[in-house]
Amino acid sequence: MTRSISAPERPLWQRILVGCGVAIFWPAVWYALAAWVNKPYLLPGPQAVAVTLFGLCRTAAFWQAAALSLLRVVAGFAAAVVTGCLLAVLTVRFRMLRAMIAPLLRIIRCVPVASFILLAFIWIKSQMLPGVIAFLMVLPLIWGNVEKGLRQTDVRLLELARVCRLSPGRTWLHIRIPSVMPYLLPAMTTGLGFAWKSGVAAEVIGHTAGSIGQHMYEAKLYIEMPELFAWTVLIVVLSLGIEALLTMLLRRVARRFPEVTG
Amino acid sequence: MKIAWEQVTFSYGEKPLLRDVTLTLPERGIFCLSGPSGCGKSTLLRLLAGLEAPQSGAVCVPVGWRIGPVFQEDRLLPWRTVLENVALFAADPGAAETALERVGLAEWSKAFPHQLSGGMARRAALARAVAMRPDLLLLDEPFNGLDPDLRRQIADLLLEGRDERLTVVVAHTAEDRQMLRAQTVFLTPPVTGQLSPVQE
Repeated sequence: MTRSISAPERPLWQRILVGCGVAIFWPAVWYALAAWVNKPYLLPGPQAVAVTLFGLCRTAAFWQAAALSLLRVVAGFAAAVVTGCLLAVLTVRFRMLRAMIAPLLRIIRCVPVASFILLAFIWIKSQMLPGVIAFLMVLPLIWGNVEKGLRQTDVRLLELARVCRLSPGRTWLHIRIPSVMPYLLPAMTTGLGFAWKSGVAAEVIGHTAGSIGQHMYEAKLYIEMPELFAWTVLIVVLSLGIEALLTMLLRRVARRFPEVTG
Repeated sequence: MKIAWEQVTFSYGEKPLLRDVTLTLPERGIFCLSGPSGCGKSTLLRLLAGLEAPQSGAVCVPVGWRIGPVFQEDRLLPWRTVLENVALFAADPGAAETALERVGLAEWSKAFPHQLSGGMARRAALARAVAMRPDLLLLDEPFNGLDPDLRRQIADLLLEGRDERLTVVVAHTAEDRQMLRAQTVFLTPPVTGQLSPVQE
């Protein structure tokens, strides 16, 4: 059993100072770059983007787009987590199924997201496209990690459960699931980022009606650069927000498994 | 009802570790297995626990018997507290706390296994086995990492249950065997034929 020794945490005032410094530094770089380029239709400054974003916030279409995109991406992500976990359980149990499924999921992992979007665009409705693409991008990640976690389950603990006649349900709950957690939790955090990027890309290419992606596509079409930037800012905010929520949730889960999740 | 290894042959590789071994134990009491490292003591326990199957012969354990094991390693769930580890396998909710009190770990019930010393973890594993109220207690070197006082305490705990269950202990030292007042089966490699417990 190993312990990591880390440097003592910085005091709060230092952390606030560093945070503020970073928050000022990058917009300042952006501002300087925009001033240097001096072509707002190519690179709008942070001020113009903020004004546009504020204007968009006052429209129903903005909130509708945010809500729908969020819903689609989260639905695709959640479906991938559930399916990936179930699939991992089955492929660990049945070797034949693993032999069939594993190459397919490896191929999915290697195929560029744009290829999937273009292919899926032909086969399914554009409303479904972002969710399906997010699902396809996250599924192999979750499956691979959960399968690895299941295979790494300590055989000695499983032996203990067997001798003590712990029921299969309790063995899963108390031994197998906690063993999978250190593999599943990071995969979920990484997967959420994948889901957002691929989901919005699918909205842009698939022109999904009323979505953030469609608004971005139209802004690009009419060279409305401040608007394109404003939608991008929204994506970043939503992505960070949902990641923070997920991290909070996972921390609560991790508290139940202090030793395995570190 | 009897607990027996009947003409058991078992090997991990090509060379048999146990050959035609026969040993019968009564259903109550304490018995020790003793012998040099690698002679097959733990394997005899693993066969009894059903974790290994003999290549020939049979291992008899009455149907429905509860087996409480203590392996060479403590095998505590690292994500559960000491109390949760014991309670998960306990026969009833009160049994876990009682067992922890008996092994002197009541104050550590909320600690996680990584917070325990080697000796404490050993006692927690023993508490887990005892809390199951097993018919058959299989203890593989239960005294490892314990000081003389704790050995005495654990031996007393095992002696208390000698009329209620069968306890099979892998014990190296004569002192441990004497504390348990147990009959001992001495194993000498190659372990073969009829084995019998003897009183030291």
